[in-house]
Amino acid sequence: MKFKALVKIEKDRTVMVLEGWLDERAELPELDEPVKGDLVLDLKGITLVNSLGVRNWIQWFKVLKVQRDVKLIHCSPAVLKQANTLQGFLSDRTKIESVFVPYFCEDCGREDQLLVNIAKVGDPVHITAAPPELKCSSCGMKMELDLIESQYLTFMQKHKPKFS
Amino acid sequence: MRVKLWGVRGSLPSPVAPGRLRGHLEEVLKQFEALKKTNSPLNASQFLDLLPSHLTGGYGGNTSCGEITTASHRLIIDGGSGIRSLSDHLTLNDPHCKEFHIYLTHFHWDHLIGLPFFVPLYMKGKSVHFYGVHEDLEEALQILFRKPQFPVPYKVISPQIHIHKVKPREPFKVGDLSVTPYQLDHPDPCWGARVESNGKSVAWCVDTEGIRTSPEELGPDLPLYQNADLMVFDAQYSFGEALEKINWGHSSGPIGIDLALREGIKQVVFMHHDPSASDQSIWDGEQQTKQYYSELMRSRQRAGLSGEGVLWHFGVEGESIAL
Repeated sequence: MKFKALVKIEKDRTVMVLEGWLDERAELPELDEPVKGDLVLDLKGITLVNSLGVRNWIQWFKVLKVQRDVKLIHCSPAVLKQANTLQGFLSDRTKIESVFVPYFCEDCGREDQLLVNIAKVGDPVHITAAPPELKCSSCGMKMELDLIESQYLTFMQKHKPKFS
Repeated sequence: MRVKLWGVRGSLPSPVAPGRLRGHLEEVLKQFEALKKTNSPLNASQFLDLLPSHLTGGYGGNTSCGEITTASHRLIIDGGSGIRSLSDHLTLNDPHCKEFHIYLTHFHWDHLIGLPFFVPLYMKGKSVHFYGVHEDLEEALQILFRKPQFPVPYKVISPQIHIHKVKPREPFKVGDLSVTPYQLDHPDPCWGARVESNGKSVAWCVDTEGIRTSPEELGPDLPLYQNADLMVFDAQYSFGEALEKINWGHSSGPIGIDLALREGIKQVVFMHHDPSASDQSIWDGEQQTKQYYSELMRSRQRAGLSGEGVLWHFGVEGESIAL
């Protein structure tokens, strides 16, 4: 799926909505001027992340003149899983604010996602939070986490994001 | 065609030190004792098969050397410390062989250090053909055979040596093997090779950082990778380590997997393992790559891409891969 980026420059922040595949073909947006305020990246629409895309993504951050924090919101399951696996996906100034946690139902096969606000999970350094439970909207059974449970939010331990 | 890996470490030979070996043995015995308490019917050999490779022998400590063979011909790639075991093997198993062909990708020490121990160089009546893209191919060999670095001077072995300077991206023949050098992303520089015979192909991509990855960036070097049956790729570092070691000339498992999936490569073996990494660290890197690959394949299937994956593993010294 072709990569798309929508950029909105607001008064005190710049918001980018990114969609598609974050791979070596993804053309990350270039900005003529330094980013004002926070940079907010909405990653709900990212459906595939590969290592070549992550390497370009890291280079992109180096070129962008970001003066404050980079906040990742609505991270899709593809982003969440590779952020947990590929060290370096998150730089020191990048923090994930919210993620879509994937679930599946063993009884009826339905897949679903739940938006988790990271700031409400707990102490990021000593994170022990279990993933929230979710009931299947089709059959009402308890859904299973579609992640390795011990690696749920591993990226937080690696990167120790700061919270205000 | 068959590919045998005689040396899979990068940069420096890395033998297992006695203390580390003892640590492995203690861990294995501890696990075996615990198993016996459960009255398991497994015997010692079956038990060992269940253990991770870092506890049962590891990945090997010799530096880069590969052997590609057909029924009638043999090409050796690089002369790292692994070539000594190959030399011993040839002395025992193919003593009448008169012609040897060695392609040198570049002249960093870890790719040359075993050459003074390649016995055919000292045997009258044998011919050792060296192939390389670099202009100073012969000078690189002369430096190895010079006092005080080594007691046997170059003139002693020169009757056996035949130098072939080959051209970038132009195939040359070693019997029924066709060899085409392509440039990799490594300092000084390094020339990998696509080796083909009887419809099978091997892309030898060690050493490389894999900086150029898109078809446009690879340009004239893209054919090295396209639809290869086997790619031998540099995974000295984990993905995170490679990001910190820009321009060190080495890559990681996930990068090789992405290249392989895009270019239709059927199988990948990763080597040039970090000499400072323990076997357990290399094994951890292999597990991390598995996790990456598993998630990537699920994303690809969801995105409607071909579910056809790539076979891959981290190479072990002495292993042989049939194509």
